[in-house]
Amino acid sequence: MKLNFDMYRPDPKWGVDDQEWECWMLEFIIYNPNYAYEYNSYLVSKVKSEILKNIVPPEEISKRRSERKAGRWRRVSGLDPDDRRPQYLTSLATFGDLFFGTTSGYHREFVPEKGKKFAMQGSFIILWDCDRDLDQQSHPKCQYVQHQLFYNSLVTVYALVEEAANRGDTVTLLTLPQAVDDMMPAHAKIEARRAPIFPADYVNADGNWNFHYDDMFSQLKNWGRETIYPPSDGLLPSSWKRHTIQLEKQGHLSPGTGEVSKYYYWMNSKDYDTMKEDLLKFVFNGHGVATELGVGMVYLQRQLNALDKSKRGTIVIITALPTMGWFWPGYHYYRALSKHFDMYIFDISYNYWYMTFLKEPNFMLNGKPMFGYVNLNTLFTLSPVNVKGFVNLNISAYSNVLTITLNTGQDKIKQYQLLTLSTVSELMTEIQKDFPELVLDRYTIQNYPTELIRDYSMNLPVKDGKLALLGPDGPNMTYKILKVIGGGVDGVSVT
Amino acid sequence: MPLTTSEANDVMRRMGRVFPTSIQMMTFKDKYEARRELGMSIDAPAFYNAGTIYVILDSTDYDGCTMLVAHEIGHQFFDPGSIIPYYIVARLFTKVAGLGRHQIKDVQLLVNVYSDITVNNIVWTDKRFIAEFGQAGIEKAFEDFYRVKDAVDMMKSGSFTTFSHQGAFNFIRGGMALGYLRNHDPARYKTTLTIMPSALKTAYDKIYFLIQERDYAIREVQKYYEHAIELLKSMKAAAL
Repeated sequence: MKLNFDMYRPDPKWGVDDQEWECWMLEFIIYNPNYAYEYNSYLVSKVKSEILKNIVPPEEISKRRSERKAGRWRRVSGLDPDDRRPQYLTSLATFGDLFFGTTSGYHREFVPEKGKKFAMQGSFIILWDCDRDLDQQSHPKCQYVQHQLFYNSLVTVYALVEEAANRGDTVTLLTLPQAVDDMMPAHAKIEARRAPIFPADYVNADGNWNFHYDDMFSQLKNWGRETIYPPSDGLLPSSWKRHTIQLEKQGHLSPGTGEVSKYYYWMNSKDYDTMKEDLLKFVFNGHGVATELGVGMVYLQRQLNALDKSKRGTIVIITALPTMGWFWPGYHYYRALSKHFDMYIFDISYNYWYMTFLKEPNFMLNGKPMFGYVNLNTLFTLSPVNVKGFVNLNISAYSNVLTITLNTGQDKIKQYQLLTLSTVSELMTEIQKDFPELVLDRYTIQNYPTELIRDYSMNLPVKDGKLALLGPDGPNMTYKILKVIGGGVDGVSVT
Repeated sequence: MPLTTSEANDVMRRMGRVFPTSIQMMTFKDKYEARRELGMSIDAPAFYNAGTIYVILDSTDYDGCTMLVAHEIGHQFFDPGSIIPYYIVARLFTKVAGLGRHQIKDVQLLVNVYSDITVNNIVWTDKRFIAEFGQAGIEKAFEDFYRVKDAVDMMKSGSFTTFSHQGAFNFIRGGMALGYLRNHDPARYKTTLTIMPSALKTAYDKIYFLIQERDYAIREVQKYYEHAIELLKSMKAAAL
C-alpha cells in the first residue's frame, strides 16, 4: 500500500509546524529506510507544491514568451497532423480561436528566426554527485538530522528528469560516487545498470595526462586536494595550479578513493518513468568516498562524442565545491563540451566561486565563461556594475546584523537587523532603497527566513562581478536550479 | 520439535484466510543461519520488518509460529497500523512531555508495549482467527510466551508491583493476564480492577479501549494520537 505521509500529520493543535514536521519525516526515513519510496514521493510532491506556491504570480508556460525572441507563428490551412499537444482531442470541441488561436480550418506552425537553432530533441545530461561533500549540510532547522541534502538533491534530479521529458530530450544520468552503489533501489537488477566497458587510455589535449581505466567507472587516481578558497578577483593562483597538478601526478590509489558509481547510470534514455520510479526508491546509506568529478567529466566527454552535435544539449552538474582541487584540472574536457552544451554547475558548498567561473581563463572559451555557476546557498546577489567610481563592495553578516559597505572613494555603510526584516524579499527591498545603484538579483524563494543566515563575509574588488549573500538553502535547490535553467514544474515555468 | 518450512508456510497460508495481507515470510533453520543471511543477530523467535516476517524455525513450533505471525500481522491490521503513526505518537509524546530527542527510543518502547497488549488481546479473541486455528493452541502459545497463568495468579493475590515496576515485559504480562481473566473469569476480572492501583488501572483501561476499537489507529488516526498520548502519560504515571 502506498502511504501518504501527510495523512499522518498531527492536527495543528499539537503545534507541529511545517519545519518540525519536515524534520520528523527526515529523521523517520533515516531510521526506517524501507519507507524511502513513500518519503521520496512525499518530498517530491512537497517541493513541487512549494515551488508553485512561491512563484508569484504563477505564470503559465506560454509559447508566446519564447516565441518573440525565437521566431514567429505562421497561419497554415488545415489541421496539423503532427500536433501532439495533450489537449488536442478535447480541443476538437472548441476548435477555433478558443484553443488554437486560429480561425476554423487553420492551424499554426512555428517558423524560427534566422540564426536560431532548434531541434525537436536534445541531450539532457545530469551529473549527480552524491559524495559526502554534497551531503555535508544538515537540516537548517533540525541540525541533528543529517543527509537532508541527499534527499533534496534526489528531488532535484527527479524534477530534472521531468524537465528533460518536457523538453523531449534524452537523458544521461550519471551518479557519483561509489557510495551510491549502496543506495541503489533494492529491486533493480544490478547487471542491467552496470556501466559498459570502455577502452583503456585517454590522453588529453595537452598530451600530459594519461588515464588507464578498464571500464567506465573503475578505480581512478586520486586528485590533488590542496585547499583553496575563492579568490576575490576570481583568478586561481599559478602556484596552486602547479601544486595541484603535481599532486595529481603523484596520485596514489587508496581503497575507496576516486571510485564512481559502478551500477547506477542511464545513457541517452527516454525511459523517464523508470528513472523517476527508480529515484523514488533511492535511500541514503552512507558515504565512504569523495567524488572525483573531474574524472567523471572525462568519461562524460566520451559519451558526448557519440551524440549528434547538431542537437542542442544541457549539462547540469549538481555537486559541492568546498575546494577546487579536483574540479579545476578537468577544464580541458569542459572546454570541448561547452561548444555543444549549455553547462551549469550548481554548488552546495559555502564557497562562492562565481568570480572564478567568470574570470579564471581556464574556465573560459573565446572570452566567455563556459559554465553558468550558481551556488545553491545563494539567497541573492549584489552587483556594482552600475556604480560610478566603484572601489570595493563588502557584505558581512554577524550576530543577525547584515552590514553592507560600498566604497566609491568613501565608505557608504548600512546595517540591517535580520530578525526584524524576517524574509529575504523584505531585506532586499530595504537594501535596494539604500543602495539604488546596486543590482540585486534574488535566487531563493521570496519568503526565505533571514534568521537562518549564518555569520559570513565576502568582498568584491572589481566592478564587473557579483557578491552573494549565502544561507543554508538546500531545501530550495530544486526551485533554484529550475529557475536558472529556465525549467518548469507541472506546466508552470519557474520564475 | 522444531518447526519445518512447510509447516511455517502452512501457517502463512491459513493466516491469509483470516487476515488477507501481502506480508511475506522468510524462514531460517536457526539463529546462526539468520545472522549469516541477514547480517544481524536475531534473539527473538520471529520478527517483522518492512513487509516480511522472519521466523527462526528451531525457536518455535506450529502454535508458536501461529501466534508470532498473528501478532506481527495484527500490528498491521489493528495497532498501530503502520510504522508511521507508531513513530509519530512517540515523537508527539516526546514533544508534549518535554523530553529530549534521544529519549524517543524509550517512548517507542512504551508505544510498542501497549500496542503488543492491544494486538494480542484482539487476536486471541478474534472469531475468524479462532475459526481457522482453534482457540486452545493459540491461547496456550500466548500463555507460555508471556507466562500468563503466573501473572493471573499474581493478580488474584493482589500483587501488582511486578506489572508496574519491573519493566515493559511484565507490564505486557499484566495486560495479557487481564485479557485472560476477561475471557475466562469475568467476575474475577471485575474484582481485580477494583483492587488494582489506580494509576495502573487507568493505563490498562486505556489499552482496553484500543482493544475494543480494534483498528482505531487506522480509522481515526488523529483521535488515536490523542488517546495514545493520554495512554502514554498514564503508563508513565504507573511508573513505567
